[in-house]
Amino acid sequence: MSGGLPTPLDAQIESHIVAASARGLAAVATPGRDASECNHVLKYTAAQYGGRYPPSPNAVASPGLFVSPSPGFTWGPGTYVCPVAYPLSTAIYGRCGIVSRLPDTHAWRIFDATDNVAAGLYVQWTALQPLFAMLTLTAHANWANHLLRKLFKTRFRIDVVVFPPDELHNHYTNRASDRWLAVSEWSPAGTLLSGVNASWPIAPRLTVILAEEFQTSTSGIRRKELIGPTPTFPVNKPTPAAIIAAYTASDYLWVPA
Amino acid sequence: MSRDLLLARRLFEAVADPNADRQSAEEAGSELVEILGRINAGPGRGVPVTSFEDMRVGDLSPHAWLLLLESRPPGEPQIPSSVLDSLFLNHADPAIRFRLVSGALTQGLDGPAKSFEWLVRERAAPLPLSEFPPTWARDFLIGLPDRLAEDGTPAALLTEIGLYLLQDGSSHALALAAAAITPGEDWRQPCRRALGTVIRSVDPDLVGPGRYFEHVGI
Repeated sequence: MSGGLPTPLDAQIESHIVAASARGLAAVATPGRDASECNHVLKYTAAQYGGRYPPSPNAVASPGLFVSPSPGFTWGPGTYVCPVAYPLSTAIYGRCGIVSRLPDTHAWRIFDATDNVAAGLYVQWTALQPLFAMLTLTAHANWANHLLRKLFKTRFRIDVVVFPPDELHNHYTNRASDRWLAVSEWSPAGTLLSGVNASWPIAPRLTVILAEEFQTSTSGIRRKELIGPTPTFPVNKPTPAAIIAAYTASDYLWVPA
Repeated sequence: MSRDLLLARRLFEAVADPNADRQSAEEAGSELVEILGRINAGPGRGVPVTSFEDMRVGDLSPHAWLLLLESRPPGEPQIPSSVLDSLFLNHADPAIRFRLVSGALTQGLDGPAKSFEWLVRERAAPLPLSEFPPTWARDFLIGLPDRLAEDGTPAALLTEIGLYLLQDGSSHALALAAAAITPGEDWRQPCRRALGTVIRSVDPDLVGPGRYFEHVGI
């Protein structure tokens, strides 16, 4: 799959990708912050699974990170993580924060979906696809969206999409400032893979452990905390530096509710 | 059925479920990745499948089959054509059908797909379908004339698959689409018109992807 036919928008889209890639992932995803806060990324998961990562005594192997095929994810198939610059942004998905290091991302092609112009170009591009009309009429709208984003990422060989959070929480997730990442996994044939172990994470380790748990709200848009926030929560929020230090020392960082 | 796939089938279905919420999909993925670690599946690898023998199309959901199709690593068995035939004919959803057509073109490749750009460089006429690498799409297109006697859908199927090949956009797919509409039978005309409309809209002078269709008369 090369992702479809050329469109009059291709050159503009390509220029946005080239510009974002030239700035580098840290400048796009964690502007103004130390590069280490982008080089280390977090993925929160339930305790049932988080406890299987080292240095937990229950670690049974060296599990990696999953490349999700689910259409419930925003930007198509990929591994969804968050820079430690936003320590609790994705904590709404689980109590256990797995920290991994990114490999060298200098050659990565970056699509900055936080850029309204770039995002708008994507929307226009989808409408020009041969399948757009058929996909908008299907009953499976979520798969249609997923497929269009997969085509887009394939067409422009996008290694990572930087995007704003699409699930919200007043105390944990800040849509205005936080940035999430969808990292692509490529097959030898140059197609996007999913349903497999991601190849890029370096040394994933359980590092952050929350006291809080969350459940999806009735609306399905927000995730609601079950315990806090307690009065000590604001002063005990972890810093990126503390997370990196704990990760480096193979230690845990505990976060109260 | 491969033992590993049998053991992981519940999780495989959970991660492939189009109606699963994000949390459920993530949890299934987390459990699956632990299993992959236990069996040393390796980076970039999914549930290993040693054989599709004795598997029936009903053993997995369409989305689970497609996930398998799209993640077939080099050296592992490919999903049988009989399964892909059944999936295609029994599921009209374009998202399913496109993934099947496109995924089957690169199933199990250990490198980039074979390029047919030499056809446009040499301004050669489209190849006969029989000279393309054996893929589900090629074989299905070759078998389409035999469907004329069964029902009235071969023309519609040809048009639909032709659009999927255009959407795939690879050199292989474009060359295959051109080959599919080259023969002059009347029943291929609707597809020729449909593909011609799409191609002319993006490449009016046939200097880009339209070059594959230079000799077809779109």
